Formats: sequence, structure tokens, C-alpha cells
Amino acid sequence: MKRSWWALLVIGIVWSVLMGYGIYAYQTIAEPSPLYALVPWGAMVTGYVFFAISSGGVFDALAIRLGLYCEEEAKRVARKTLVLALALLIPGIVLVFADLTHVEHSGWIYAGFNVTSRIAWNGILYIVYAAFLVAALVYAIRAGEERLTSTAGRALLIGGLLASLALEYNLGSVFGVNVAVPAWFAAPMGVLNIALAFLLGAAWSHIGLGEVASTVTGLTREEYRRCCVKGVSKELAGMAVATGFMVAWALVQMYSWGSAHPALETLVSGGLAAPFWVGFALAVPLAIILGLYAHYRASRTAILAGSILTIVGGFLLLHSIVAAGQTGRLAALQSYDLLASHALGPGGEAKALGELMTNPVELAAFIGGFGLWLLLYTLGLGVLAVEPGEKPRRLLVFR
Amino acid sequence: MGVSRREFLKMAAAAGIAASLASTLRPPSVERALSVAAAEGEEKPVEFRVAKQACLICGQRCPFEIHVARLGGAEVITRVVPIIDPEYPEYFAACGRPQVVQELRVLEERIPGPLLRVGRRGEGRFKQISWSEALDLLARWVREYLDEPWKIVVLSHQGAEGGLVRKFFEEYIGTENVTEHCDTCHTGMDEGHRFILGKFAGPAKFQPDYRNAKLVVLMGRNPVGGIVASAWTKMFVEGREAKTKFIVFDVRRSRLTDLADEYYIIPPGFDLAISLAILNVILTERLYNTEYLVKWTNAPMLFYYSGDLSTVEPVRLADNPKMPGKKTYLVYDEADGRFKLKVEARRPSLEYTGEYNGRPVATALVILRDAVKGYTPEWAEGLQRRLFGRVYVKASDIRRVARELAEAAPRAFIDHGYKGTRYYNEGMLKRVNLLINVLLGSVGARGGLAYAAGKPKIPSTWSILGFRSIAGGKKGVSIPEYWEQNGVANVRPHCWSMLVVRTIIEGKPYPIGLLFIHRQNLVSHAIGGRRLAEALKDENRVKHIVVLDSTFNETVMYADLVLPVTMFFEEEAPTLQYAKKSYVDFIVDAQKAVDPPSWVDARDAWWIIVELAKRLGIAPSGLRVDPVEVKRRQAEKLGINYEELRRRGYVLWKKSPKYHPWGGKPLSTVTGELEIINVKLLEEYRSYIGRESPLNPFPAWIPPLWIREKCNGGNGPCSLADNEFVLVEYQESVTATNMFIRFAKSVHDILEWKQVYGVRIHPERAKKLGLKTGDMVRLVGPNGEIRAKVIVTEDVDPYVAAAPHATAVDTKVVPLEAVIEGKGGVKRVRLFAEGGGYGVNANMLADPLRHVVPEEGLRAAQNDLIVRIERL
Amino acid sequence: MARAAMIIDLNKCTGCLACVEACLRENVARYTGDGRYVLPEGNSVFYARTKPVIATGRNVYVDSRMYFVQCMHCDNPPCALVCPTGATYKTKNGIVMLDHSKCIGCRACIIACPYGARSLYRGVLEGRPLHRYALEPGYPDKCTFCVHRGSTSGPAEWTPACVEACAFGARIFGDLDDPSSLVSRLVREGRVVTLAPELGTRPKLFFVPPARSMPRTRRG
Repeated sequence: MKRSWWALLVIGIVWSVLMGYGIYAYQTIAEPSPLYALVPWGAMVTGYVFFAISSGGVFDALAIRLGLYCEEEAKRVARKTLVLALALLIPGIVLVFADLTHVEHSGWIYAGFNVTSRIAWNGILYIVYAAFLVAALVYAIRAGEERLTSTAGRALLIGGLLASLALEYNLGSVFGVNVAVPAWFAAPMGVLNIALAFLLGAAWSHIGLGEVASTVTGLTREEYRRCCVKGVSKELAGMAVATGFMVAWALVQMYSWGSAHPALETLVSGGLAAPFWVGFALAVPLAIILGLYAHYRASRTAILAGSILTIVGGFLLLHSIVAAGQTGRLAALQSYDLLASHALGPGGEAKALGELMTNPVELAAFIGGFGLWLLLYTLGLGVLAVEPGEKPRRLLVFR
Repeated sequence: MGVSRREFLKMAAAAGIAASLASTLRPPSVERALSVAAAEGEEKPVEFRVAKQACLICGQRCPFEIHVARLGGAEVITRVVPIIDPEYPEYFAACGRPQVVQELRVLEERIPGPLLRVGRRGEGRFKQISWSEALDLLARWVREYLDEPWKIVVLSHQGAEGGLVRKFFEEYIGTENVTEHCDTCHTGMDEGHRFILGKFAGPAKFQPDYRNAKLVVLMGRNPVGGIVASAWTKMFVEGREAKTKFIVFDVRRSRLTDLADEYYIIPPGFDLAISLAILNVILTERLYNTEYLVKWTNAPMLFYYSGDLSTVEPVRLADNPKMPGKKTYLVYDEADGRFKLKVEARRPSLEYTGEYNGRPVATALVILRDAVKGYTPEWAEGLQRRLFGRVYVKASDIRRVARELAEAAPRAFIDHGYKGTRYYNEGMLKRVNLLINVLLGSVGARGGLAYAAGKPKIPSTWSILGFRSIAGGKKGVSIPEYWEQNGVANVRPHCWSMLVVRTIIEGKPYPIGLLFIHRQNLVSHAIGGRRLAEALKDENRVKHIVVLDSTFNETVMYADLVLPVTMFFEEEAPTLQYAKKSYVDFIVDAQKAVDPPSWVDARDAWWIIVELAKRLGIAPSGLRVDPVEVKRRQAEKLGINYEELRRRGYVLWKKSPKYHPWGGKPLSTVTGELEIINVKLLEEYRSYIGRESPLNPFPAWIPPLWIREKCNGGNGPCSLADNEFVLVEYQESVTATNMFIRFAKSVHDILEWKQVYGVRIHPERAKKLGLKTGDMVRLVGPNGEIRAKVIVTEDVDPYVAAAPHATAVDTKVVPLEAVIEGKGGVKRVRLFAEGGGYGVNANMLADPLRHVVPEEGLRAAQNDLIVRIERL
Repeated sequence: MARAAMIIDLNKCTGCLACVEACLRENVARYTGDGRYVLPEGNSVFYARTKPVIATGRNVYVDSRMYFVQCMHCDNPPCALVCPTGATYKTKNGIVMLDHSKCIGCRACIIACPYGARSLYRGVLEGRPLHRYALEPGYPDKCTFCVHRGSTSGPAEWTPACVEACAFGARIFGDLDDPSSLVSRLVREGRVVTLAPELGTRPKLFFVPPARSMPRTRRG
């Protein structure tokens, strides 16, 4: 193995410890706070959505390129892309469970399946998507990437694409299913989530393939540039446009429904304006500019910068919308407003925002998720037969 | 509960998935929670006792049930249920305070056993001693003063055994120096009512008949959140439901103002001006009840009157043949145009003015009208402008309220209130308000101010037990006697705790030998502050201090000997009680519900007295007391079936309040009637006519002390410095005079939740001081300092800094921690262990020599002081 | 059929909070072997299943500054709609309950409730609860109408702790489907209102708005 592989692996392990700490600390919280009920969904909730749609976005692009358009270029990086998607999905799933206060009962999601619950459907869609993803990866390694454009291969990719889109839409809709959360709307949030998934998928594809894989595997920078830079940067710019459009649509809807005004105000000019606008700037105009620049100049620096900024911006955008919905209801619904005022006293909104945006335990778990991704991805690239044409020697898929 | 096949399959599937996840992902806290639930959650409490009780957290004694169960080897209180008579539900209620009993029982502040002081007084250092040592010491200290029993000074709460304690010291030891704390509570009212009723009459005299009223005006009384209110509260809510109109004047917004139809926020102590203006309108617009005034009051009484109030005197009084011991008087009979004694007149004139024996005469009503002619609504409005620079209540509104009262009369009244010791002018306020009610004809009327039903005379426990007095009959000068000879007037019997404070501070008339305090938190409850603290530290002013209480508090810190007594629901007291401040009296058999917790070695107060009596030879040494048997004998003497009383916990003594203008029999006035000009006091206080004094025989505006001090002697304008406020303390729905309740966590949490734990000030004042909610400040009064938390709210008048009662201490006076040396090592007990302690206590800031009313027995005027707020 | 319901008469509510104290004792507090009474850390009122709230102005629905936030036992409960496991469910007699053994702690029910009726205590609570539906740390807690005093299927004939503690008769509990019950009569007579009826949740916690003697002329 290259030294760089070992280096990334060690960084991944050390970084993952942060996630372990965050999860442990979150699960063993023994200090009460009314904020747990007033603003219950923190960075870990946004975090799992973020990782899940990042994974989905990576997978979706590949599935479209191969499953729908049978692009030969995409085949060279198909195995690594699938490993990348899997390595992104796992931190998401870990965060899903880590965020539950009674994870030991989670079997009831299936045993007591509630058809009207978006979260219950997430439980199904995670599994369906993960199954297609793993099957496609195993198939690509066992049968070779060439076979991904066969009927079976395309079936796996398109099946996964549908599951992934459904998951992305459904994850967004969790936040918009009821009147208590006026900032979150089922329709815009679901579609916004899909746009964001593609945007993040493009960013992650570059980081995963153009930076990590081209450092630790046989994929050369030149090969990557040839196969992917144009496509990834075009996707980044295009999806940034779509994301921008969807965010604008969400804001317009919030503006047109009175109950959402507090959330809208918080987002555009209140306590969340900084993360929201920074997130928007990074994930929309900057991503468009850098994506276009990278596309026309084939600039690796531009696409790297665009990807990093998009990942940061995408999370900020998503999390500020998730947070605004919760602080927004404190202002919009009188019962919540009064409970917050009784329980938190003056400055309640600032306390709620602080809990949502800067809770160190939840941030540790989420940020540590990047470490787990790096660990799993590096490990996958190292031990799985991910090179084009490579035959697995051990245990179905391993080198 | 059955499990369907589908549910079973779901569960089985879930179990498989869950088990695998759970084994890897379950964190320690979850493990603990689950194990607690699994190991303990399934155990059900087994109820084994239901005790009937009478709540003593305030003085009301509302009947309620305590359900006790065994759970995990411990006795726990599982239910607290107000007792409500199915036939007379309107008279029965209990507020939220008794719901706290299970928490009171295990307060961390509880006194663990008998304690002897080892540090300096006020330092809070004690060592634990045995009960026999403690009782021997107590007996020795009492014996020291048997020759001069008046040097034993006793303060006792009005609770179950309070009466037993007082009676023991008065009758069996022979001291006259026995008192309660009413001079810090309702004495202002007692004094004010005396001018109309002829004798001191407190809040228990009347019952506001809210339910049957059409209109009620409330001033200085909150029947919703105040104490000693539950039965009144019940009638209040029924009145509310029956659409009785309520108009409230207060210094702050509260649940009461929420429920009111109309409310006015006014500066503290200004309600007297409003009342005087209402009185003026009723008199000048002749809105009074003529028939009532003629029949039941001395309004038609003729006085010589030439327009000069200071020379007013009755024309003629004569023995009343129909009312032995009472006088009748000369009136002008409109039936035949002749002067006659009232008993002989057919139609006594109410408004006669003319001449008799060549001298000008007028009726009492005419003179009263003249006396208040200056107090027009416009005067009240002008006074507001002059003093405060703005109008809180417009003249037109005062006039309208007066007319509405008259229109709804006699089913309309101004509530007589409860506490009357907040401001210097409160005696006059209560007097004027009662006068208005008399003019409306609503005193004793249905829907008006009814008279309380009357109280039972419960036979003395001590005489049933065969106690023998050792009082030698020696008499010294009692404390009230001494002070009445030295500048204090009208001391209300058994209501002079402020005189005790003064005696301690000034060492007059003599140093106190033994200060015996039973559940009276003197240091916190009377105006005392640093002056009192310094004096108490001096053993030459008070030789021995013995305190009986359940929890550590301000006064316990000054005790030489502390005797822990049980909470009221932990004892079976050998006496029946009665809920005296309700519409109807009911006799209550309060029964022991639970023992004190294992770590508290407390005894019932009556047991301590019995043991003391045995040591002093007052009771036979072999006396064994069966409290239930004593109560049975008391019941027999009252003609009550004790078995039924025991089973139900109460019996109704009377079933209706008294609807009669005099309460059923002639009053204590000279004429036996409601006197709108008091014949006796007119003569006695003639020199006060025209003065701003509570002893002025005629209604008069008296500025409260703070207005005199800060508003150019009462002429205005008021100029408080930016950091000066009038300190207003009040009872919240969960605070009380029995202040152990303030230590409960749930009480602290409720006060915090309601955002009233701290000192509340108006935003415009806070802004000037740069203060915001949550800031800590120092409240500096003339006689102490307190640390408080600021709450900024528009719910209070800008002049006011308002806070719940006794929720803080001056740490220079009271240490927040007691240290107890015992066999097991040193134990530390913190006051406010569950949080809090940053409210206020006016008694620690006011001056016992200044914020008192010497004309009214030196009763307190606790809220009539200015404090400074300084940022910490 | 039976449908349990509660009415809070705001004319009769004096704000004494006996109901809150009783609820804490019955449903929230724990009891240790040495008899101690253990309340949640922090402000325990937040964890009471009936929470008093005081607005600066009058609430538009109940015409009062003070009212209570607690589970409204909606006929159409959004919390049950979003619960992934069926842990939040409606009993046969219409009480919205939480089955602790199924709850995963996703807090979707907390998010879904438009009334703020759910609390979540994540502190330590030493000692024994009084019954099996009492507050458990880590679960989204809510009012159960004290169903442990009665049953989940029969007529609503028991007395919840808050109702029992209210000596002023401000709380009334009974069966909406029983035409002779007081709750059903007051609802029928149109004397009650609910919070935010436009949301379509159809709450079964009703309020009697304060009766005023005449159009109010408040000053101050």
C-alpha cells in the first residue's frame, strides 16, 4: 500500500474517534434541558440527511451516466464511485441510529411500521437503497464494470436510482409533513433535497475520485481529468442553479404563508442569516462560478475549491433551514412561544439557536462523520478490488 | 390486556432486530433507565391510610385528605385530595399549597433533632442534644422566671397547637406577654373597622358574598392568589362564573386582574384617595340606601354642627329601652316634624339640618358629606397629576364606579380585604371602604359583605388533661401596657409582635428572660432587620431564646435551644380545630398522615408542652395523652358525633353566613348600630380632626409614608431617584406565611416558571438603570440589604419593585447555612437548598422604629418604604 | 364507544397550580427507598404533563392570558401520524398514549405537535415512579389523562390527578360520547373552545373562555 493510503487511513481512524465521542456523549446525556423538547432536531439529524443525500447524489450521477446513458467514460471510475457512495451512506446510517434516544427499540420501525410516517418510510428506503448500492458494487466487482451496462447492471443502477431519489425526497419531506413546522414544506423540501443531493454528489465525486482515489489508487490525475472533471463541474454548476431555484421557491412559499414568517425572518435577516446566506453563497453562486470555470478551463483547483465550498455550504444551507423551522415555530405557535418564554426566559431564541447550531456533542458526531467516511472510503479503496478490470481474490469482493 | 396475533408477530420480529441493535448500541444511561424501570417500575404503591387533615400552610385550615402508600419500603404520600362536602360544595376548597406536603416532609432544611447553640447568636452553629436534655434545659429556663412570669415572652402561630401553646403560658405559667403576628398582617383593618363597628374586627368578621353579588370592587386584596382565601376563592370563581362584575385596583397585574372585568394599576397606597372619591360621589349624589341607613346606622343621629368639624358633638344620647346597655339618640322625625329619640321616631330624617335649642344641628350623614366634600373624583385626579405627573384613574371612571356600585347595591361592595399593614394609611382605607359598604346597605346583605357564621368554643385540652396552674398571680407591667403608656395607642390584644421587637431593641420595659417562639419566624416575619438582629445577639436584652419549628429559618439561627416540631400532617394534635376564615365554620379533626422521615427526630409541639408541664408540676408526671380521646371529649362537649367527625374529617358548624346588617345582634358601638360617625371615638380623638391621621374621627386623605417622604410631604410632585422604588411584597399562589413552603423545589420551580422569583420592576425604570431580567442587584433599605434577581415586566407600576414574600435574607443578619455538630460528625444545612433565595423580604429592609403606625398599636407598614436598587 | 375529554374552565382557574403539583406527584416524581421525593432537575414545571402558560396579551382562542399546554388528545393526532413505530397511538377510548417499549426516541412526535404538549427529560431520575405510565427519562412524555387510574378501553369514569386536585372545579373530565356527561353537555352547548381548531387536529382538551360581565373597558 502507498504511504498516502496509510496516512489517510490513520487520519480517518483518528477523525472517527471524534464521532465516537460525540455519539457516546449524546447517548449518555444526563443533563436535562427544555431545549431537547423545544428544538429537538440538532446537527445529528441534519447530519444524517446530509450524508444520506451525499451518498445518493454520488450514486445518482453514476446511475444516470451508466444506467440511462451507458457512458463508457463512467465505467473506469464506477467501482470507486460505488465505494464512495457506500462510504458516505454508512456515517449517515450511523448518525440515524445514534440520534435516537431509544435505539434499542428501533426494530419497531419495521415491526410496527406506520404507513403515514415519513420516518418509517425512511427506514425502508435506507435499506432498499443500501441493498441496491451494495448489490451494484458487488456486481461491478464480481462481474466487472463493463457489465454495469448490461440489463442486470442497469436494473441494479436504475433500481438504486429510484430508491435513492425516493429516499432523498422522503428525507426532505420528514421536515415538512405537518403544520407545526412552518419553515419546512413537503414539496419544496423534497425536491430541494434532490437538487442538493446532486449538488453534493458532484462535490463528493470530485473529492472522492479526483482527490482521494487519485492519490491512493491507480487512478491517475490525468485519467480522472479526462473522464470526469468536465462532467462533475457541469453537474456542480447545474445543480447549484437547481438548488438556488429550489431555495428561492421555498423562501417564496414561506413568504406567502404568514405562519412561516418568523422562520423566514430568522433565515434571511435574523439569527440564522449568517449561516444561511454563507451557505447559500457557497452552494449556489460560488458553486456555479467555480463549476463553470472548472468546466471551461478544466481547472482542478477550481473544482476542488468548488467541491469543498459546496459541501460546507450545502450543510449550512440545509441545517439553517432545519433550524429555522424549529425556532420559527417558537415564534409562530403561541404555545411554543410561551413555553419557551417560561422555560428559557429572555433570550430564548438565542439559546435555541445556540443549541441547534453549536451543540458541541452533536457537532462532534457530525463532523466526526467525515472521519468515518474517510476511514471507510480509504479502507474500501485499499482492500476491495476497485481497479477497472481487477478480479477479486478473497471473499467475493476483496483483493 | 390481550395481544393479537399480528401484534405478537410484530413483537417477535422486533425483538430479533432490537436485540441485536440493543446489545451493541445501548449506552449506559439507557441501561440505567431501563433497569430502573424494570426493577422498580412494576412495583405498585399499596395505599394503606387515608388521613383527614386541615391545611396549616396558611391560617385557613382547609380540610383535605392525605393518601399514604407503601412503595419500595418507604411511606409515601400518593394523593392529596381537597375535601368537598357534597351538600355545601361552595364552602369547601383547598388551593395548591397542600399539594406540596409530600415535598415539605422531606425538605433538606428540616431540623434533624434538638439543638443547642454553640456559636454566637445568629451564627447558625449548633450541637445536637437529646430530647431529655433539651426538655430539662427548657424547664430550667422557665423556672428561672416563675417569680416574674411576664419576663417570659411567647410568640405562637395560630396553627393547631398555637392556641395550646399560648394558653399554656398564659394560664398555667402566668405571663401576659403572649402574642401572635397579626400586627404585621391585618391589624390596620381591625383598627379601621373599629370606627364603624365599635371594636377591633379583622378579616374573619365578614365574608364577601361574591357569588350573589352583582359588582365587587377589590383593593389591597387578592382572593385568587392570596393566603387564607380558599373558601373565598371558591365563591370568587363562582361569582366569576355567575358574571359578577369585578373591578380591581392594584399595583401589579396578576391572575386576579386577568379575571377581572376592569382593572386599574395604581401607585402603592393610593387606593385610599380612590375610595374617598367614591365615598364623596355616593354622598353628594345621594346614592346611598336611605332605608338601610335609617334603620341600621346612626346616620340620622343629630349632632351640634356649625360647619366646623372640630366642634361636632352629639345632641342627646339616652339609654335605649330596646337594647340594654346601648344608647339611642335624638333625631328629627319627618313624620311629624318633631325632634325625638330614634326609638320613638317613625321616620327619622337622614338629611336634616336646622336648629335645636338655638344651636345649629345636622345629621351624621350631612356632617359626613361635609367632611368628605373636598374629596371629589376631580380632587383624586388632580392629586394624581400633582403627585405622579399622570392620571392612573380618571375622575369620570371613579364617578362611574361609584354609580355602578350604587346601582347594583346592596349586591355590590368593596371587598373588606385581608391584610391591612402594608401602608401607613391602610386603617383609614379599610374604614372608608366599610363606610361605603354601609352607605350602600351592603353590610350584612345577601350579595354584599355578609357576617361570618360564628365560631365554636372548643373546650381546652389542658383542662381536659387536668393541668394545674402554677401562676402565682404576680403581675408586672406587660409589654403592651408599657408601650401604651409610652406613645403607642390602640394596641390590639394578642397582636403586638412589633412591640416585642421594640422591647428587644430598646430593652424596655425590661430585658426579656425567655423568648419562647413557636412557629413564628420573628426575624423574618416582623420588621426587624439589622437593628433587631444586633439586639437579639445581646444576651442582656434577651437571656434565653427557644424556638420550636420544623425547618431551619431566619429565627432558628438566633435560638439558644431549637426544638424540632413535626409538620402539621405528621402529628395527631389533641385538639379539634375550626376553619375560621370561611363562610361557615367547620370543625376539623386533623389526623396524622405520616411520620417525619427517619432522619428527623421531631416531636409534636403539644408533646413538648406536656413534657414541660410534667417537669414544672403542671401536669402529673405519669400523664399519658391519647390525642384521639381528648378530641372525642371535646366533640362530646360540643355535642358532635365524634365517630362521624373522625370518618369525614369535618363537620359543618354553621351552614350559612349571617345576612344581617349587624351580624344578628347589636354591635359594640355606643348605639349598638353601625356608626358612620363613631360617638365614642369622636370624643376620644377630637384633637385629630383635620389631621392626616388614622385617628381622625372623620374620613381623611392620609398619604402613605413613602409619599410623605418622596413627594414633598404629600403635596407633590414625587421625585424618586432613578434607583429608588417602593418595595411591595405579596403572597404568590404557592407562598405563605408558614414559610417552610418556600424551600420546596416545586415552589421554587413554579415561581421561576411564572417569572416572579425575584424583584419585578417596570421596563421604563429598568432602562434607566441599564438592568435586564436576570441581572443580580442589591436592594438597600433603611435597615438592611438583600441580594435579588431583577425581572423586568410591564405587569407592575413604575414606582414599584414587587416580589413574593420572604424569598430572600439579608446575609448580614441570617447565615444561609447552619452547622450542626453531632455524634456522626458535622452536618451542614443550607437554606434554599433547592434553589432560590434571591427574592426579597421587606421586613429585613424596613426600620422597626419608622415603618410602623404608633396610632394603631405600632402595627407594621411593611410596604411603605423606599429601597434603592444597586447593580451587583 | 367512549371518548375521554377534558375541559378547563378559565373562569374557575385561579392559577393556584394545584393541578401542576398533583401532576408532578402522580406522573413525574420518583420516590426513593428512604422516602425522598425526587423531581426532575431543572425546572420541573416543564416536565409536568399540564403546563401553565401566561401570555402578555390574551390568547386569541381562549380569550385569556393564562391557559394550559398539555396533550390535547386530538381525535386526529399529528404526533401519532408521524410516529414511525406506532409507539404513539390512540386507545379505544380516544386517549393518545405512548408505548415506551416501541418508542425509538426520534422526536418526530415532538416536532409534529402544534401545541408543544410533549416534553423530553434527559436527566437522571432516581427512585420509583408511582405507576408504569409515569415519566421515563429519554422518552417524549405527555399527558395520559391519568389512564392508569382507569382503563384504555372503557368509559372515561376515573378522575385524573389534576381534576382531583382542583377544588375550584376548573377541570372537568368525562366522556364526550356519553350525552349525560358534563363535558359532553358543555361541548354540545357550545360553551367551549379549543386551541387552533383550524389545524384540523380536533383536540379533546377544551377551554371555557372567561365570562365577562359586559364589554370590557380595561385600563391601567
